[in-house]
Amino acid sequence: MSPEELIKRYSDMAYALALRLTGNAAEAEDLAEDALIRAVKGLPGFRGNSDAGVWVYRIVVNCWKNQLRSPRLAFWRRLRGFYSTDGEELAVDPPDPAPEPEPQLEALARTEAFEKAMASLEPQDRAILILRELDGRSYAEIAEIFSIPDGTVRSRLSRVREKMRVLLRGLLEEK
Amino acid sequence: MTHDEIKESLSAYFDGQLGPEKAVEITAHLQSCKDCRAALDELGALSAGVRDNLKVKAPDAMKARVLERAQEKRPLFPTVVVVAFAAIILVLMAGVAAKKYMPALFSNIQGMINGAASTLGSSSGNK
Repeated sequence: MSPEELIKRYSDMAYALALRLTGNAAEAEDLAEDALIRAVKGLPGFRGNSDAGVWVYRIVVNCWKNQLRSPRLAFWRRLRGFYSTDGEELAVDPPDPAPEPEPQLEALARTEAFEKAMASLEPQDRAILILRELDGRSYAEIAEIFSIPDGTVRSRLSRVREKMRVLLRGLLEEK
Repeated sequence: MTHDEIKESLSAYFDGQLGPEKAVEITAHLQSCKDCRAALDELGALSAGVRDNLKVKAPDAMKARVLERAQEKRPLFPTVVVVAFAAIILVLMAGVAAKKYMPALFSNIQGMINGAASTLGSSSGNK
């Protein structure tokens, strides 16, 4: 696989994964970029024993774990939390308050509700859900990406979906 | 499986990640259980909702930066190695020139080096 092909095939999902792990767009961009550069540099050593996607996403997860251990980044994260007014990390910009046609407003409200529900989950749970729903990864692949047992993926997905269902019901009824 | 166990397994059933025996048992249960059918429908709606509302694209600028880094030609030897090699060559050439054009200075330096080497040898031998 060429570097161009790797970037074309996996950058969107690597970014989506990074976004759910970090909870904000700026950190996600740094994380995904770092991981993709590592993947591109490591491409000659990739033996192809496992799926290339699993390999790339494992790099994203490992880079994220390393960043969590970094004292410098932990300081900036704490500082951001100190100045945050509502304590929530919205991954996307809030919807434009300008008047919109009714169906578009509904769609925006729905997207906002999904984002809010996601923001209340643990980073790893958000990432597991995204890997399953957006990339159709099997439980075994997700387990390999996070280095956790298959059974844990199964139980966490079940729990996360139940939590999302309850949260979304509340959020969408509010609207 | 009990009703509660089946309800807990519906997420894995929905994903097609259960073994065939359990899947058959749940399929049979769904025929008669309205509650579990509704729960399965909700799993489908949630899945579609996540796909419709949470799909993102990586920023083009980020992709371009990664591609640029990927296309960078890596030098055959790192700069540190090149500088160290050049320094060694320079010292050797200076030595050769000193021996040829300044033999007295060369023998002085050689004597100093030999003296220092023998001092180091004897001091380490005394220990």
